[in-house]
Amino acid sequence: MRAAWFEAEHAAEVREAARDWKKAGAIEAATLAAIEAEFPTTRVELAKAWKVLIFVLVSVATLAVQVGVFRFDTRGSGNYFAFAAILTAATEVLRGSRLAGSGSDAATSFWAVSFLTIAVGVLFEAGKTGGLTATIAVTALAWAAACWRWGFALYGAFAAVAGYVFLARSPYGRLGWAIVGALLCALSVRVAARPRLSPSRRRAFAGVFVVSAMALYGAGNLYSRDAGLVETIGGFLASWRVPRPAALNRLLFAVATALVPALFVTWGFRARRRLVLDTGAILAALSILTLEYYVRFGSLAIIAFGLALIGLALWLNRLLARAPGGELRGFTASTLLSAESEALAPAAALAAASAAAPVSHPRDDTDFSAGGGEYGGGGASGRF
Amino acid sequence: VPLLRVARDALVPIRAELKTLLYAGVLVAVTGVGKFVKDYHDRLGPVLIASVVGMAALACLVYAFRRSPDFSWGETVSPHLATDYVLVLGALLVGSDLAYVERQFRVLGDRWPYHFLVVAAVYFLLAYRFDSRAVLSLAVSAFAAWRGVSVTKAFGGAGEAAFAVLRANALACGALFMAAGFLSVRSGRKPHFEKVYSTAGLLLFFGGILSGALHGPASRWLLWEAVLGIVGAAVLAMAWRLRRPIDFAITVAALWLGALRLTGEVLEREPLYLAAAAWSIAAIVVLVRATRRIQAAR
Repeated sequence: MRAAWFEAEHAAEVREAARDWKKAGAIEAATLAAIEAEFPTTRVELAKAWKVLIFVLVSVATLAVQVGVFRFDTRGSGNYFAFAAILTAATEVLRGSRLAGSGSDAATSFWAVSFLTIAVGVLFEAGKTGGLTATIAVTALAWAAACWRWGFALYGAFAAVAGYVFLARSPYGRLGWAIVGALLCALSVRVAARPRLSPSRRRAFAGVFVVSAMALYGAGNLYSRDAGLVETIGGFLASWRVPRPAALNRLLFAVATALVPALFVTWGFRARRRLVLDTGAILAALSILTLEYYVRFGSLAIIAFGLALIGLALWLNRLLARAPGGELRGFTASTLLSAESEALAPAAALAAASAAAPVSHPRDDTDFSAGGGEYGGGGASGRF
Repeated sequence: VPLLRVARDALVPIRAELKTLLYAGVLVAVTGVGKFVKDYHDRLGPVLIASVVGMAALACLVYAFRRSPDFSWGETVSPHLATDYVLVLGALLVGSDLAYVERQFRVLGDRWPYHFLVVAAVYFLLAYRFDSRAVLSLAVSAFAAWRGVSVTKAFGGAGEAAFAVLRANALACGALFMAAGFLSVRSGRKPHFEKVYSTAGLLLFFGGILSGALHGPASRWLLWEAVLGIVGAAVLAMAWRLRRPIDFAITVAALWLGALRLTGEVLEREPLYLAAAAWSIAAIVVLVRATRRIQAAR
């Protein structure tokens, strides 16, 4: 990733965080203006709905050119490689222009990797077993490279998904999911918190964490074992029948189904990491669905469960609201701090604090204050 | 200080998680109620089931009423996390209960689609009393559903004639919602509801026109294209003047779809694909330039 793109990403993140703080009432208009002046944008800033619309429009244009000029042809891969190369060049140009982040670069990069995948699939004759495995491996690498180069966080998750599909195609796919999933969980959660990385790369590692947690959970889930899900994804079921596990074996999978989400939630609470906590909550929901598959809840149980969720949320809210300072063990439900993009990047907050400091409150405070427009120097540099 | 502590991961705000938990709870509870009605219909009888669901809805509305601020024509902010979610749960239960009562007791007889209008009226009342844009969206949807179901029932199913009347109803509903949005701002009564009204109105209005341009009879589609061009130009000009990017984007998307149909009539195969690509790029250029100018003007 080029240094200019890196800087532009940081500026965009700071501006977005500052706008959320303004929306939540944590800062005033003057502070927002000061932050935006300190971090000017070099890009066209668009609403999310516009970005989606532009993504669709560029996708239509891309596919129309492919059909109109190159034409779909499964006999040779040359056309697809050429078109992928053109789209790669277009993405490079767009990422360096004012249109970066408008949805156009996301569309060209998405189709560049997609057409590269088609090209490799045609070249390796993906209809055959070896060809398909090689195509999946190249796809994983292509998404990872696109993520690293252009900074589209979602591509990190795509790369991880392709990587786990590749693993599933080995005879020890389930074991591979468990081991690699656990290792990548531990690694990606640390990397996702590194302030030195660009925001998109941090988000990409967060995506890798979520996919890896799902893989780890999928490897140990009882339904996944009974239905041979990993083996089905790997395409082995046709030739290699998954034996139904013994009772003790099933008990172990049942325990893992209950235990893995609990471990993630506990980890999230102890480490105060929302990423881990939220992932644990998703896994817990999957475990409840697994339980429902085997036990079949009645309507009254479902209603009771729904009410229990509402009750739990209200109880936690009350607990936090009544705690001294509105916080308990490092958690808070404060409205002021709960803007839309709650995943506040540390760098964004520090940079915004330093930007706001000299403008209207030059005293030598050490912390950034959210007290309705009072702000002080965070002591951090805008260049991080 | 708190912001910096949040940034340093020393303080973790979990309000979004609590809201998600509430939302999930509402969804699960409503699903359970639907299953309950189905499971216990024969055992408990319709009167008891309707009463139980009605009581649950009432309990939710009382809870929301006790925790919401007093009525105001301006925007009000509920200090309690759960009010809006419990209100939506109550509104959904009211809708389910009314539908169940209508199905079981045939209160409206052959005019059963009118129960959508009753539901819409209840939702409008709740939306205004509790200042809820979520419930207003439900009200607008229920109102549009009333017209859609009424027309389909009157024509005994989908068909060319029903399609034309459906289109007319979509246009009328769209115009009505946009007028409601205009009046909200003009009268200063819930002016913040205007966005819900005008977005729903624009989507329905352009949906109606596009259905004529894309699926209309062979003799009339060109007429609908002309209508799309005129209305689109007018809305673009208004969105530009009022600096409303979302309305501008909706209009550009509608014009783009209309242009594709027009091109499809003139060109075929490769030239058509290239023309589609050219239209798409033109739409992007218009969108990006408009955004920059709107932002600069702000």
